[in-house]
Amino acid sequence: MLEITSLIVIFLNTLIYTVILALISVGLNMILGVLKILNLSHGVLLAIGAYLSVTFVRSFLSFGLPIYTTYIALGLAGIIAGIFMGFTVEPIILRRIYERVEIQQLLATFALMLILEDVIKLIWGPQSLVIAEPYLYLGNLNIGGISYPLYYVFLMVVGYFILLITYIFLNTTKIGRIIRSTAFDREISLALGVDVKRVYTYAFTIGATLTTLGGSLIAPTLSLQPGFSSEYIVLSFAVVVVGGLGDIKGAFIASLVMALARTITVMVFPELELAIIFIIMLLVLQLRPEGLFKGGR
Amino acid sequence: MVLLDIVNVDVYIGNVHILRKISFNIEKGEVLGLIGPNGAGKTTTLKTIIGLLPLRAGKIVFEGEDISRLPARNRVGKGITYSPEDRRLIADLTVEENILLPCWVSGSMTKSMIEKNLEIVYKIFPEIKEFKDRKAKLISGGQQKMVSIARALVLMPKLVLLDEPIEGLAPIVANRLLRSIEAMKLLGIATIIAESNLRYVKQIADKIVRIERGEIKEVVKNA
Amino acid sequence: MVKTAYKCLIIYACLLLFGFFATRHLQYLLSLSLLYSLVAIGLVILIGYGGLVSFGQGAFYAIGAYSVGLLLKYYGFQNAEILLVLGVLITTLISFLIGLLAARTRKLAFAMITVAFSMIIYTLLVKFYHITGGTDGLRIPAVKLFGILPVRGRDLFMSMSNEYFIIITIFTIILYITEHVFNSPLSYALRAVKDAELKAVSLGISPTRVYILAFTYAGFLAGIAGTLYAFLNAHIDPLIAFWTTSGEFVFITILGGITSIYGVFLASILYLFLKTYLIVYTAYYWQFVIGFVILLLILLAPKGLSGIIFKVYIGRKVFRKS
Repeated sequence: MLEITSLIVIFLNTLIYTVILALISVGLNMILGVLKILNLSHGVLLAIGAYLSVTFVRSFLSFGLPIYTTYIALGLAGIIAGIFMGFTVEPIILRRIYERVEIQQLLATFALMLILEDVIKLIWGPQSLVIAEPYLYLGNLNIGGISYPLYYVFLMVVGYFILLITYIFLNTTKIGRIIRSTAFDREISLALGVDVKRVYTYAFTIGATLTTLGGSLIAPTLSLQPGFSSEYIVLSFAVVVVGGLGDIKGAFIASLVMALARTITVMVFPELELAIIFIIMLLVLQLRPEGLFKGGR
Repeated sequence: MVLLDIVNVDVYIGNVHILRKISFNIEKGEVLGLIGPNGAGKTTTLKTIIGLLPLRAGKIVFEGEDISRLPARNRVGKGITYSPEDRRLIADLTVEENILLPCWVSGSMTKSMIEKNLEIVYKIFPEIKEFKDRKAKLISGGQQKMVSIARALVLMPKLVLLDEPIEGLAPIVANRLLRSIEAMKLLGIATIIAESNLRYVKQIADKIVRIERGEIKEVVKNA
Repeated sequence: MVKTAYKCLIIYACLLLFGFFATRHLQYLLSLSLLYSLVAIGLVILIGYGGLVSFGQGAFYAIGAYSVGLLLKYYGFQNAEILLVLGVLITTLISFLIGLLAARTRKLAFAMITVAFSMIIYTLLVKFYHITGGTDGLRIPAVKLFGILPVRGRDLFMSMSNEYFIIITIFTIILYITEHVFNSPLSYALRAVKDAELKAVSLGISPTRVYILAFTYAGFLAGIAGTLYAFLNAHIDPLIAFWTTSGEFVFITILGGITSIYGVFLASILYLFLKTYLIVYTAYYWQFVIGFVILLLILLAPKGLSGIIFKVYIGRKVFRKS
């Protein structure tokens, strides 16, 4: 029953799910680690990236541009969505609630989620949207008799590349280190001359962009409907809890674990696909309540 | 020439009145010892000067300019730096990265300026060179203290605020630090050293300010 | 103790009076408000006294409702009281188990776990559609309470509907019980833990145990509300488990002042009437408006406001009327 080709497919599917989960969770963790806010509206960022991609891809195509440019459209959409959200949501809303009690912050980001979800409905309408062109154009790979969409490979390559750049950025550049310093100790960073306000905006924007790019990447693989992102946000919460709040590499490893668990469960007992994540989360928390890694919090 | 003038400053933490109408000043290139027992308000005073705490009343004047409402980062830009009592290094960065952080933040320093300043700092604390590539969380408390002070010096500021710098330093290192502060005087760098006792400070202080329960008890010139 | 009894009797009398004269629709809305209040009271204990923000009470609400629905569907119980008891038992048990596992986590992790739990229940309800009816939901026929009173109907005095009467009665009883919980050692223990965990430990209070108890009680209340909801509404669907419903409960709790039962009661009435009105007038986009209102309230209410809204630190004071 478990032939080599099935194993390869499991392996590939896990990698794909990992990279998407990682993009969302690392984004969430960046915001959590630096701004110390749990952004309940984070899942909507995924949706915004995806929906904006629909608009961009369709525009490109309607201008008669060749199909291979739609990949650029995806990238552009993801980046523009992330930067736009970063530079509006953070200064307008988040900045006002940094000093507030946790429950107010939670409720505020919750309200933000309600608002953004309906904004998506207002702009793009409640019906399903599909942009299959980038997905179909690449055709399929033949892996030992199984037909595997090449787009998934593309998705993986781009996704991991983005994560790699983020890792390099945070660990080797000056700005990256300043961001990490602010996440670690905000007060002393202030005393060292750091413009913490700007760092917060940058960190939020980076976190948001990672997620909107994730949305762009998966857009061609799904039929988009309002609320499709709620599954991912639950998973990313589980990932963040397991990996350690605010810990970026923890988020990546936890994504891998969760993705693996999910892929296997889907093959064996499909209805439990989300429940298994929860079970793992509770198990891990029994052994280590702070998550697998320490992290910024 | 007066560098920093604290005038009738009141500071509250929450609803607790910590500093009560404190006033003192420090001149360019002067070494001021802020002496008082634990809980007297020394750390609060330093934190207020650097801008981490807001003042409820009074004003702080630096080089003739009222900086009472200026955010901390601008005060660093004007030449005031701070080394906290509990070191507060960034655990996952290396020692050298920690020291260089203010330089990176400042953005207006050229590579050669940074290298030059780093050399000077390493002259004051040659021991640091041995562990400069180690992560800050892997060095001892005393070593962290050195690094924290080095970090405050690397910008060659006009005013350095040191909160209990002597504690945790080996006597040899402590003495070298004091000599360095004296040397900095010649460069026009002023220093406020907060300590709970006079022992080391009286060797180099030009002025002693005694603080107790949030109030300035006396200001004396030191021979 | 006697004072509490009087308070509850007066409330009951008012509710009865309302039922005699209000339209069936208004009675429905008030019933729903009472159910929401029940869930929110659980949150008052969790958040206001325990400092634990749960965005997952909707899950227990749904478990309560679906327990009734599924028990009816597969075992055909015709006795409402058995369904009620079983539904509440199941929900309380599950909330105890989840509480055991979740009570050791810190605040934000706790919030995330509860969100995850809420959504897991939602997806389970949706995916096992052969059993639960999926997004179409389950129909709940009107079973009889104690064999005589149908849970939905108009068999009572004047224009009071059966479901209304059942709900206000149970609500008042629970109110009475809960007031005692509030003045019991549990609530003091909770507040002690919330204020200074280390000190509480040194006094021999185990924070984890206290949190588990609080979480279970909140689940118990949500379970009662959920089972009653199944009777009130002829139809239940998985959406009640979606974490946005849980968010509504949290919002009502905050709106009501976090630590006041009566505040929460008023807030839930306010919220539900507002929501009904909004859905009528802005069909598609009522969430936007609600979200906007919540955000406006949070942003404009200055920090540390002493007023009805957002009084987070009242945990220190003894529970009192809003």
